[in-house]
Amino acid sequence: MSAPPVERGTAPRAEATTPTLRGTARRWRFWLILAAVAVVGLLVVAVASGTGGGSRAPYSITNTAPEGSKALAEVLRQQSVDVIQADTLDEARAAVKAAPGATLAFADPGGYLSDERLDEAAELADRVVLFLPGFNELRAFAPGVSAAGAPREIDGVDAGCSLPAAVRAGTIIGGGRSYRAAVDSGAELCFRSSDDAYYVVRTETPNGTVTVLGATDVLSNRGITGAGNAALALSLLGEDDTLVWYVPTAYDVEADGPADIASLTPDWVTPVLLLTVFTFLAAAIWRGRRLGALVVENLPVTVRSRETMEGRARLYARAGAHTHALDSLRIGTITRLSSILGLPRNATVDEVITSVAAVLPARPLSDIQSVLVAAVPSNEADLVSYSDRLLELESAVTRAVRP
Amino acid sequence: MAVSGRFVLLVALGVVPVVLLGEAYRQAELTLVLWLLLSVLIGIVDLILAASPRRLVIERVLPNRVRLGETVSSELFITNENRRALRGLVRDAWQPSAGAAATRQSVTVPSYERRMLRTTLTPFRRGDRRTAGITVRSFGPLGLWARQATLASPGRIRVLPPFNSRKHLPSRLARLRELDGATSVQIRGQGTEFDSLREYVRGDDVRSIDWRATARQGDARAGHEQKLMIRTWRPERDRRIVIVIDTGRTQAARIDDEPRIDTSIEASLLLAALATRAGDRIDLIAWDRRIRGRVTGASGGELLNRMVDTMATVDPELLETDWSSMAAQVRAVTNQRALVVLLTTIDTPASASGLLSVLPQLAQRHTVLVAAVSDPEILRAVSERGDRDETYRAASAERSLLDMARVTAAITRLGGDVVTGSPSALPPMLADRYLALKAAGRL
Repeated sequence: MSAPPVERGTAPRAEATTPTLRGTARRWRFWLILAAVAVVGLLVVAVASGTGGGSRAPYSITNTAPEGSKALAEVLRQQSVDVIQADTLDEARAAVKAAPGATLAFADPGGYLSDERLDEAAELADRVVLFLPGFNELRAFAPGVSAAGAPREIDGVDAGCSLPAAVRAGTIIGGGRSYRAAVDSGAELCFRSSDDAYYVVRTETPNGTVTVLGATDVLSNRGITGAGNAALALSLLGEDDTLVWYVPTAYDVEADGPADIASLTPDWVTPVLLLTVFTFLAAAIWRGRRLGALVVENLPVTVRSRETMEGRARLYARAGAHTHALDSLRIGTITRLSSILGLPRNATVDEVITSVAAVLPARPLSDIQSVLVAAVPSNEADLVSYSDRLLELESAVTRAVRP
Repeated sequence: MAVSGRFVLLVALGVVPVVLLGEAYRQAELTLVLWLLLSVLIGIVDLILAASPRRLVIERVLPNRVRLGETVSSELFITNENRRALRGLVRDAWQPSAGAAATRQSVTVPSYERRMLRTTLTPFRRGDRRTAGITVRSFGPLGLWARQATLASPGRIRVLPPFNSRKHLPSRLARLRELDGATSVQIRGQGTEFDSLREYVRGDDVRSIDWRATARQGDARAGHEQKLMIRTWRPERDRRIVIVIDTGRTQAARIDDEPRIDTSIEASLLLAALATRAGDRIDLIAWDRRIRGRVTGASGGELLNRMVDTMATVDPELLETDWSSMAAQVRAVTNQRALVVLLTTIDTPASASGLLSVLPQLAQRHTVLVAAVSDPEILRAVSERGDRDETYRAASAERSLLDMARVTAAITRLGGDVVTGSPSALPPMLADRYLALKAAGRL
């Protein structure tokens, strides 16, 4: 099989029709550049809009969106207040334990904490600031305070109380929720929104001092610069050196029910499943890669020669044209009979009948006439029987003429 | 780029370390990632070490022509101009009807050496069968990943009509020689020409005695016995035959699993082979609405070669044959009186109207012979009358036969002659009719 070695470069190399990697890249250069520009542009826009990282939750001190509270936390840090973020009850407890006497800023807009856990949270710190608490938080933290609905957006409301932080702030603007307290509770009520509803309520509880803050814009990045909002927030939250900012997350939800399937299976099950997927992927590439392009070949058209005949037969059958069909059969038989009998091609039917009768003396003339010309079939059974008799007559004549 | 089954196996084998390390150190995810990275890395190394499939010299040795039904071998020489050995898979992209035995072969070519790949081809369709090139998949030393490229290396093989009817040729040639011998003392007349003078022997026709030659012979040999000289005649030679093969839509129909046009080609080849031995001159036209093929001015072996070469690539067109301009084509070929053989279809009077309209002007100048393939299925259907459907089919078949008889009668009336036969019978029947015409001196 092997031929002698050839000298280098005697014959020209075969020209490859498969493009090289470089060629493909050159051909797609415009689109590749366009895709790169689009990706870079998207990244720039993402960074510029400040969505790169950070939480999206309200009251989160890592949230830079208008609803977040990062601005407040940063300013507090500049004022040398140690702002500690706690995402779970355990973290909050650890943080408070590390810095006794810290202020606890608490909000649970997601309602993650159960009643028992709220009670535990209420006992954490002596000084607590509640942001827009709901019914459950109020019950646990400040039993004497109740919600008084959400008033309309305010243009500016004066403190109207002796709370130092409120007095320092003077006026606040923005919206939120208002609260009321029982008259005999001795609670400090500031920033009245309507009859007996207030934005800020400070009350003394067995666990310590609890300040309920209902004005959203006092906290949010968007509203903190308005009127005395910043002063109020900084005064309320900056009283101690340490501020534990506890906004519960989904991790605070207690797991219950039977153990899920993930904790029962070994660690390697998911990786093995993933490995199966990759194996299938590799197998797909292995089997799917073609060895060169498909070969094109023009094939000639195929026409069945019987088509016309079959089509006409079906047409006869569908139209029930038994007379017409029998006539065709008779013409064929008469033509063959006349050639068997040696009659000229232009012999008439009557001449053929007479000749047949002469060859077959046993048959009555009327019978031959009826088969060859006269009888009219009334249904398809007749057609089949007459067709059989035509064949029989033809073979009888053939036998009689050529014994 | 391509991967092999080996690579898939390598990836799948990762299940062993993933499970073992997952059980022992609880590091299943890390193991998975590392194993996949390792597999891909080995694959990339393998790819880099593979010989380039582009640095190859391809030479093809291929016979030019092959008769349909015969087997030839195509040889492909691959020279490796890499510094590494080429281990790979080579696919020669022949068209399916070239009938390649194996289109892909594995090959190992050491650096700067040449190897031959042989493929046997048994084409099963007439015409030009081609291959655009070859595709080479070159694996690395581990056989995991491969480089792949398609190299242009066009090849073409012309598949000629089979000329199966040549088996009828010896018997017809014997008949032709008989005809020559039998007619050497024939009375002069149409279709014969002067051959030679020879001495009278008892039994010769006295009317063929050439008295003038007898007298001259007597003068030269005065005093000797007077010898009677007679003239001998032989069949005319150098008659012209124009074969017209219809390539219109009716020729696409398959009868006995053979398109009508193939039968027409077979019949024309047998006729041409016979007639060129008889000393006649043959011209061929393949015609529908334009000339699809044409052979003129060839004789002997060259004639048959050119005919099969011309007709090899002709397939029926799906359009109606333009008979009215066909007469002009015949006139362009010859002005002499000729035998015009029309290889076409006799179907219904409606579809034959074009043919019938041109016959008078052809028959005026030439002897016209219409040869058509008849369908044995129709004859079979006539006598099958078991049930209702078959009876209707028999009636329809009778109608077809009647139509054909009418067209045949019309052609005869217009001065033509008709030969019909099944695909296997038509070529010898046409040859016989030619011999009969020649014997009758009607050429």
